[in-house]
Amino acid sequence: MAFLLSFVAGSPVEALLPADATAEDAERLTETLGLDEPLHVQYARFLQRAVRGDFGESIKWRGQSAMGIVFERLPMTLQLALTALTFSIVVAVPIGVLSAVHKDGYFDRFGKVIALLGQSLPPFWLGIMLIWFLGVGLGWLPVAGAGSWRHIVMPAIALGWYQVAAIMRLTRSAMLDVLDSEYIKLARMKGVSERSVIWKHALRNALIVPLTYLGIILGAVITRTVVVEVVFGWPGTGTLVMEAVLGRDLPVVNAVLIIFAAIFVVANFLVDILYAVIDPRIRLQ
Amino acid sequence: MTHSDSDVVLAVENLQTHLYTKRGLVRAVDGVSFDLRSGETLGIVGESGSGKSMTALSLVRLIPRPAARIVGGSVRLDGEEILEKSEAEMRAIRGEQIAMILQDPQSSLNPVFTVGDQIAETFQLQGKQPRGRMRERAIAALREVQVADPENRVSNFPHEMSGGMKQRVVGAIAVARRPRVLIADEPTTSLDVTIQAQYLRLLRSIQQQTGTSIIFITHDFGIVAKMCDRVAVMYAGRIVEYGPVHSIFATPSHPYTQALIASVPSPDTKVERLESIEGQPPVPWDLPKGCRFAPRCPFVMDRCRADYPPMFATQSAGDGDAEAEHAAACRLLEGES
Repeated sequence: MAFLLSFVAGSPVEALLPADATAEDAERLTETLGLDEPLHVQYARFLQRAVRGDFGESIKWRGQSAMGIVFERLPMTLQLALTALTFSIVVAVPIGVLSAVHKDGYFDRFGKVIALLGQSLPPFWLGIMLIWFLGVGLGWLPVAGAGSWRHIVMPAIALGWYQVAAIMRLTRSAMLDVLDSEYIKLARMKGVSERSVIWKHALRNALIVPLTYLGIILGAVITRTVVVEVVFGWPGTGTLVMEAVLGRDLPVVNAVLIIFAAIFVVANFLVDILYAVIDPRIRLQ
Repeated sequence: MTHSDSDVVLAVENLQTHLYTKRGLVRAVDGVSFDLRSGETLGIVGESGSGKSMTALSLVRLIPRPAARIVGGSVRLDGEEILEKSEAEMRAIRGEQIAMILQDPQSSLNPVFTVGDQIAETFQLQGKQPRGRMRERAIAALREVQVADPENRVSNFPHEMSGGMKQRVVGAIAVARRPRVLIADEPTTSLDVTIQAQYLRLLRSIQQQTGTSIIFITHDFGIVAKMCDRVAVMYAGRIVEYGPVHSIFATPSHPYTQALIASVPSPDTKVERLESIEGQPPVPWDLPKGCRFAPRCPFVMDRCRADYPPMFATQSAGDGDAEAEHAAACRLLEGES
């Protein structure tokens, strides 16, 4: 995939050279970049390097390796994505639980509105609205950049809000199933308080469902950081990949793609470990 | 059922629990009355949907809300009205005074906690205790229900145990705090026959040790014969007959009870075809006006369809002896006694 992209995006040679460059200049550059070789040779060389994490030198930021640049920006993106996910979970799970407990009540209806809003507001628009109200209008939070905890609030909300709806609805339906089960009946029969029935006995069983979803959406959250980072000028891989695409800096684009894929795999692995922590039936004997 | 016996633990009078369903009002429990005496086992027998389980859940006020509501009657535990208690007071009664064993051991235990933790939680509700002490008490509780190797089993999760063993754990939780009343809602239905017999023996021996009274809900007259002192037979939300086990088996007086007992195969006699009851149970949201068994009853009279028959004492009922009280809600008995 990453390799194919190199051909769709157009020649980097044109992008790199000044407008008044001669055909000779172009030829020389093509040679240095190895673009004059046959396709399969290019591909073999690409693969050979890619497995070592080497995507070559950045075309835009001369003299730096593509991977190096990505790794420099990566912590910022991870910080944003994790804060956003934490926000999603901390908001969605309690609302989901309470919606299930007060099924068809006022709280449940309130939850449905939140869900609808979350699913229908695109992150970039929400981001802009947040900037407008909290940043420009009220002046509570910095509108862009990074550096303090106050900078991360708005991008994290913009990025995290979308997942709130889904996690909440999943938690709600899982809780409804669990609250109907025999072991909840038995816990109540023992005289366990309703609070403990809900937050201890039921929630631990219900959490498995939204957790599965978490594994799936992690990839989507990481990709969505691109939009949100650009809106908020957050200096992570998202803004990097934007600049790289505009500059046709394919080594950097490729490096970002591979890193995103790796994050997706690692995240799903972590989710599998979390499963075992929550549900003893999944643990190995 | 009025008698001044001081050893009545649980007195249920005219209990009514209604279910509000999409198809209409269901009188799941419709005027049920019975007494439970100290140390005895009372069987409640009836087919699925007859209201046995709903009666049991009403006694501890754990009926499914908001679909169901207790609309009338009285349940007195040692003379105290349970239906008027606050939710907090009810919580103190559950587990401590009235405990329950549910039907399916596979789903009765919480899969994410060890059985030791689940037993210990019952004790924890009596007041905070150190962890080591809780573990000891959980082990002792497991030993009481004859779980082999309790020291290791205590840290097992439910999925690491067999169905029979899980049901023992549920039993251990139920009797842990020495309740006055133990409600067993078809506790052996999902166990295989040999395990069933073991489990019933276990319940018996626990009852002898602790003196707890048991309400045993079942649809199996074979189990009733083994386990119970007295029986109440339920049909469509009402008790149609009650009395001592031997008396009910010897002279079943309600046509429904007669048909039920006739449909139990006996190992002594060879039959070509098992008896069955004609017709279907009534649909719960559209009950007949008079006796609910009338449409299926071979002895039906016009009066049966007019209004619901009251309880009539049977001939076998001992004179004034509350222990031997045997009655049935059937017009056939009218004038006999």
